[in-house]
Amino acid sequence: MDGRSYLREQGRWHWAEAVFWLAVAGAWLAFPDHLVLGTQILIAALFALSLDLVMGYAGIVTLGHAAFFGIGAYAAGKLGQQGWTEPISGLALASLAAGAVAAATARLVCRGNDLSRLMVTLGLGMLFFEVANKASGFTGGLDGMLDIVIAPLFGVFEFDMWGRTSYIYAGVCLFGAFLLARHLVRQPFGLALHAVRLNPMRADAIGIDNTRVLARIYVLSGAMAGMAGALLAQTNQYVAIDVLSFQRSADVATMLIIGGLGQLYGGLVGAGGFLVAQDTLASVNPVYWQFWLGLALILVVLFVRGGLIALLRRLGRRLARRPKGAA
Amino acid sequence: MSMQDEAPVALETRRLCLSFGALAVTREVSFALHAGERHALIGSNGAGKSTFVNLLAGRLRADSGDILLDGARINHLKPFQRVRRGLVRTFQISALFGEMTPLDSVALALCQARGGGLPFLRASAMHSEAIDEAAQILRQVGLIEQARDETRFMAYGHQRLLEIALALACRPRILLLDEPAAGVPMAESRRLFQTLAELPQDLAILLIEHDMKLVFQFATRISVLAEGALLAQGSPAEIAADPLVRQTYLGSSHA
Repeated sequence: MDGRSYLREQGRWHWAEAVFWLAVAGAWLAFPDHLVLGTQILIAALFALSLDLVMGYAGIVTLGHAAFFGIGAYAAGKLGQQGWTEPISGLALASLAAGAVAAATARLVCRGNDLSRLMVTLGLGMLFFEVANKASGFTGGLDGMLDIVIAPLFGVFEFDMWGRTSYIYAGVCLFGAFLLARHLVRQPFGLALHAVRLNPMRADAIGIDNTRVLARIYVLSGAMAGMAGALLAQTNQYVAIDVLSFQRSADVATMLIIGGLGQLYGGLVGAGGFLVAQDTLASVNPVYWQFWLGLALILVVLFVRGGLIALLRRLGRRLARRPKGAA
Repeated sequence: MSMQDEAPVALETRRLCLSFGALAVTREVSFALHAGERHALIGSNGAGKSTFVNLLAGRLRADSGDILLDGARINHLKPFQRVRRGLVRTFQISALFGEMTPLDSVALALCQARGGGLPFLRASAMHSEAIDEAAQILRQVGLIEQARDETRFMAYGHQRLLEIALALACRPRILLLDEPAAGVPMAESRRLFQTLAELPQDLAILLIEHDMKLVFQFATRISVLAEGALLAQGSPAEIAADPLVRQTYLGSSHA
């Protein structure tokens, strides 16, 4: 067994991955009237991907991830409002701001057990929401942050109201973040995340500093969530206080869990399914939406290890086997 | 007395004590492990052997007394910090990464031992070397066939071998083996002890084992624990001849 060829084989792209990303790109041509929804899906997918790194890979159960999404959104919004209208640098700065807050709170979250993490992240989420609510001079409070101006991308592509620019902008950000995540989880660092999640005591006994490994991924994930929030602020040119809400944390966890934890694509597929279903069902009857969503969540957690992605994998394997059986 | 006394002391405890409530599980244990020594720790169930290993490895904190690694006090060091200094242990009950393959687990341990830190990018070269070396270690312990199986589906005997492989990947100078052969079928137990016998001579090993035949084959020095205290220490011949040890411990099994 040769290390280099083993790693090459591990990192190889599956054809279904190529199909997935081509579909993301092709949607821009195929659904020109739905690019606003499409952009929302891409942003939610990026947010869910960031959650997958901490929850799926590192095993940190969090119900307060909207804190970083919200901080990214407010930071990007504030920059646009104060005259820093260039989108890419604004996005980077907002992402850094969220990462910095994650770094400041990492020690609180990464120690302790599942229950204490759940409570600490929940508490942090509530805390940031209330701060944003009270600091209405800065955030606009319940009225939201208005008067955000974002300059055209590269000085050329205007953020139009049909989401043509936004979709591509968010799509490129998502793909970039995905490449980074895909690279990381195959590195020794990614293996260390697995090890810490699967057996922290054993990880300790092979020389892994559990807290440090968890803190690192937490900061990275916070920055990524911040980028998602910043994308929302820039493409909507408005920040509502619900970017920090508990509902947002709960929604993204729901998307990720239904899509499938710890497989990178789970959050992406979950976000798409969630928002499309919400868009079609909720207009019919919002009560139904909550009902079916709750049911789906329960069924997936209890019966489908690995969520929709695992189901798709199983389906793919069965389809691949059938022609051989017939021949 | 014996040859090991001339080798430097690698790991030492001085009057180490630990109690759980009113129960003293480790009592004033003063113990030395020399570089390259093959040292067995024996004692009946509940004598405090695993507790002692947990104290050495840093999983438990002593109430009083000192632990010294190469002469430096390490009481305050966390388990992972002790591992990075070459003090590595295995677990009595297999504690592995169930959903990872042996190859990935061992490669990860190797990367830790090499890098210390976790370089985010540019780690690929190190990683591929680690995988090559992991394959080598797995071959050494006889697990190369299972290298890419999921650990949790492996036979128990193989999991015990993987325990050893993981520990070796940490580049130990001192290896604490907590009943490595417990629950392992005969043939694999032989394989396991053969692997241990082939380890580098400068590695110090502290072995906890119940099978006295294996202990007397393996050890150059034996310590006997009873009710948390050191009852006796000496060469295998001295221990076998010790009347107190015969009476309280060997008596039953060697009768």
